[in-house]
Amino acid sequence: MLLAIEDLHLSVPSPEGSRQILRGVSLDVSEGETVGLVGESGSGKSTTARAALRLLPERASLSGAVSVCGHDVAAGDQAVVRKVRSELAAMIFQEPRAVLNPVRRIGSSATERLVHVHGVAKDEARRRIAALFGEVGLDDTDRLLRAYPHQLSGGMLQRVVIAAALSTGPRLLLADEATSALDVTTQAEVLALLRRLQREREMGVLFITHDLQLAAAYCDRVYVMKDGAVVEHQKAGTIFVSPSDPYTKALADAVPRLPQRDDTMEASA
Amino acid sequence: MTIDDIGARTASAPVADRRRRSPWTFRACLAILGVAVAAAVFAPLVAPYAPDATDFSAIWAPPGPAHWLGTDQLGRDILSRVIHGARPSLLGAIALLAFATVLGVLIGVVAAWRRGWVDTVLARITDVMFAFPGLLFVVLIIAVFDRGPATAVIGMGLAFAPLIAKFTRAIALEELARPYVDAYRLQGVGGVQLIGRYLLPNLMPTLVGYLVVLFGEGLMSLASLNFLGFGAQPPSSEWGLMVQEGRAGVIQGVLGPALVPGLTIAVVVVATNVVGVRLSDKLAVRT
Amino acid sequence: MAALLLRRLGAMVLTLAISSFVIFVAIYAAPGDPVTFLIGNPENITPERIAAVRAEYHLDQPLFVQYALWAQGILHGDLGTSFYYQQPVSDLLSSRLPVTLTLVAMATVLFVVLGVSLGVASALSRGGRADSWITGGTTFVNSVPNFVVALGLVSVFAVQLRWFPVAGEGAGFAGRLRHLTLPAVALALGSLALISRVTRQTMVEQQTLDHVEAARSYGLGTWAIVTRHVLRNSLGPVVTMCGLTLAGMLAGTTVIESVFGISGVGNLLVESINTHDFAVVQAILLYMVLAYMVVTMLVDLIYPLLDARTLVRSERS
Repeated sequence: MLLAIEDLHLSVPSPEGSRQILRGVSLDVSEGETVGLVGESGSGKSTTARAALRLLPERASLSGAVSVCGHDVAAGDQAVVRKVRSELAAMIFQEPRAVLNPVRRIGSSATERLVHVHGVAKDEARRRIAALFGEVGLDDTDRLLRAYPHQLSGGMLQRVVIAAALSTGPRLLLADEATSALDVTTQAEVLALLRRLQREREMGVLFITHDLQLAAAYCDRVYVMKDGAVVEHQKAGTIFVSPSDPYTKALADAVPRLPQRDDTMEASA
Repeated sequence: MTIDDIGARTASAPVADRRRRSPWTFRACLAILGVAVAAAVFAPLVAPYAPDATDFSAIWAPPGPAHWLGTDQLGRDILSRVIHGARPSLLGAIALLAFATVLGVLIGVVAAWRRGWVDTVLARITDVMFAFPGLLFVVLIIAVFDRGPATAVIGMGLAFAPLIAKFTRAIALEELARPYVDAYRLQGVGGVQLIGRYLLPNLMPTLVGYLVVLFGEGLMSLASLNFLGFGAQPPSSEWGLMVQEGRAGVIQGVLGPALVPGLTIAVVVVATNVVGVRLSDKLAVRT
Repeated sequence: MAALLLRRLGAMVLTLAISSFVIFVAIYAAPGDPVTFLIGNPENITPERIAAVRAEYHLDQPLFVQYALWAQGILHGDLGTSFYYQQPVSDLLSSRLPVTLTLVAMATVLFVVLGVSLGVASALSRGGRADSWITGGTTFVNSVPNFVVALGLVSVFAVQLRWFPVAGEGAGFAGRLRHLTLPAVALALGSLALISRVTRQTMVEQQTLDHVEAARSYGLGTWAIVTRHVLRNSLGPVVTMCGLTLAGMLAGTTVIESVFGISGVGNLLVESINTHDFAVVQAILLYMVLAYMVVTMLVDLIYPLLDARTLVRSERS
């Protein structure tokens, strides 16, 4: 099991005492599997994914078990957390423009984890990143490495972020709304890219989105979250057919269905 | 320490801290200002000696029963001089602020009211005055019109006016955007009347809070001018001037004549800042 | 970049022209006629003196011609003659400038290093005890007039402990450094509050940004996050504030020079006001305005090097 979360509770102090953000979340992701995590904003889906890296909100208290590749993230010491963050898992965020340091060149940001976390020599890191740029469909690498984030499009930046995330060879990819900020065409391209990379590298992917239909089309299994708890867990193929929870049913009914969408997604992948 | 720990501290702590600390700090500061004002008003009644009474048998006397804070290079009682110095020091700062306020509020309100080119021209003028580094303007005025308390106050007032103008313009623009202004206009209330009767009174609370904070700044700047000998002239016992006259003592190891008035300025400035920040928090509820 | 440079230069020349005009026509604002004002001491009024002043300031010409000739002279390095010292103002100024510039340079090193360190410490311990001590301490020092701070330093470190000399500017490199240490500290202390507050504020804002969270997500160490992300990205505002403070200091050494009896430009200004030596006053005011403008312009030009986005923004506007 790449990611196993069991009965995860998380609360933060608030003026009224404490506010529960997660109430007993359990989910898992295996090798080579794409697992969807669906919910509205504020449902706790992002917090769940961040908990896998122990990126917790301020002054949060947490109970339950979180393990990545058998390493206990919830109870482990700094060394464990560091190993999980730097080697085993990688996170791709929603807004690539915000996660790349705006005052640094792309080359510096993309090689940061190799150079400053893994101690790889600068030239070697640049060589590896340049190779990965090719893999994610970016060319003219030399110019790209010297560019600043504000000079590139959102789609290109997300490819840069993905290439950087792959540079440390993670087993688990946490994609937090990784395509939501992109326009439709770019979104499809990035999804196809993620699918290809996942298959080539046999990574497990936790795919977080607010779009149930996208999750159903793209993932193997889907979890639905509401108010900090998982309310639904099904195979992607059956979630529209037989939603067990009223909330999932409401979500499923709310979107107009396009039956052939699965096929187009697969084709482009 | 990790970044997680760093992030774990709450952002609202300083505010909570200030609230918790404020009751007695605030009251102590009010008391200090009260004492300063009382000294300014009742100086001749409460001071043990006349400010210019020299005693050549007690030059640079250390603090003792006869002279609680010692005496200066002419044997004058430091406590009495500091008490008498409250009046010129505080009055100077008040005069400077009053002058700057009249000028600044006038510019600010006219700029906000007329907008368009008037606003642009006034904004340019205040910008140029801003760009003119600090005391230079004052120095030019003093160089041209010669030293003296009035020149110092007017020069410093001119330097402060752009600050007040900028502030007034900002809050006046906000106030003018309110519906009641249009309502009065529709009723045919004239511009001058509207500004004088309704706009200014509504700006007052915010402005007063800001002015109290500026008062400390004004007191310090004026004291600096007096220290340089550009403002009050001997035998005045204005605090900045007292520090200047006490300088010779410091080099000889006699600290009282310079440090007592110096610390008095510092204490009054700190007290005004504390009171001012508290006041502007309280008065500026509308923003 | 070239366009930005040209625009800034244009604005600077305009401001300089206006300021110099104000400084020039000030002689007409003085009570009495400009000749008596320029001569200063009434005892010195002799027919020869009057003729000399009239000739030097071209007082027979129309006002704008007078200003143009005066400004032309200044551009050629002729700042007029000091009627008190009986020597060219440019000589006076150039003999006083090195001390003042050394003093400002020392104070700048001090306030940048101390102010930024305090700000960083404050931001990293946000809400903690160190944070409130630093904020409280610097705010308090900021409320004490700097001549009082200076006298306090003199009485402790020069008179009681005898670590530093009481006054003067010293000779030789080591002597000058020793003489100017206390003045530089006094000068720097006043700006600590501002610099540390700006550093703290900007860093606290930067800490919450996504790229900091992202860096944390891939295991970048605390120190690297602070230096490579938080502090690095705060440099724009911090450098700007340091630059503005330095610019203000170049024109604001008068009080400190007076306390420590340093014969720099600031003290020359006080002397020339007291002796009614207006040519010197004019020259010093011009130097101060120029120094202020040059430093603020340099700061504006450095900003795009620290944050490439500003260039795009300023080109759009």
